[in-house]
Amino acid sequence: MNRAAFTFSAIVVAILLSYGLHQALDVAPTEATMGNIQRIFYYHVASFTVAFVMFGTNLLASVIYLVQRNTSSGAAADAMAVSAAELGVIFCSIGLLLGMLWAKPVWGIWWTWDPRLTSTFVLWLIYVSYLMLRRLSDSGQAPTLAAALAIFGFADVPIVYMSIRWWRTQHPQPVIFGEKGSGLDPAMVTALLVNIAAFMCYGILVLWVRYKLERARQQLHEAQALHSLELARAEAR
Amino acid sequence: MDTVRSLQHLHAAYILTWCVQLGYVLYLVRSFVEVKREAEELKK
Repeated sequence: MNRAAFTFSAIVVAILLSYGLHQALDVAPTEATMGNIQRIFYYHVASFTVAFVMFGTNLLASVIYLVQRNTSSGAAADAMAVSAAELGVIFCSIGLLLGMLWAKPVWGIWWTWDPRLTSTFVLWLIYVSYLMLRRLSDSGQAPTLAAALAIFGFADVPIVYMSIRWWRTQHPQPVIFGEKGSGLDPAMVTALLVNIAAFMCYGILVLWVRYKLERARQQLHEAQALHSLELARAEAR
Repeated sequence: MDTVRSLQHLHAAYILTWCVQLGYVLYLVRSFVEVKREAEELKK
């Protein structure tokens, strides 16, 4: 993507996000029981949707890395895996924080250890440990270990998704793909879909930037290693 | 239900979202500058 295409994409994403904000705060009707605080829903669900897509991307890239780890496409997959995990953690953190800000006025508590919240917190911990493993380990095996962790870690995503269907929870029952009688006002659906689309476009754009940064870092580390090797050879002579 | 506190929470949620996202974008920009500087130092 060249500079002009990037600028154009950034402008389109900014317009989409502004439209999403307008839909969520001005257009969507006020929920009868909770009032305006329910408008957190549009950012809460959109954040988690992007987080799940990022964790899925991380899984796919990790599998590709494990299959092709000694090739240049393996390095590219590794860069994509770490970038997607980082963005997934950012969106998951926002989703959790928004959930807490929503819970306090509605439930009277910031947090409860119900299956949906606990499984989401475990998911967040798994990917934070993935990033810490990548950041703190000096071992050359760190990307391989992290890729294996990513594959096991993703198993928590379907548990998070299904938790409100499998167990009785404090967290509300599903309003999308839920049981008969559940559902949203059509204007609320529009606001939700616009925000999910806007967050997804924003997430993909930032993922692309983060991926470019990781590739630049990989190239820099390769150049630094080659440079050190040349210096060592020159000293040996 | 629409108490002052719940409206404060709504505003805090939207502001917090964009503070975290903008902070992350700034971190990315700073990291790019750092990588570029290190690459230029290596060339010298």
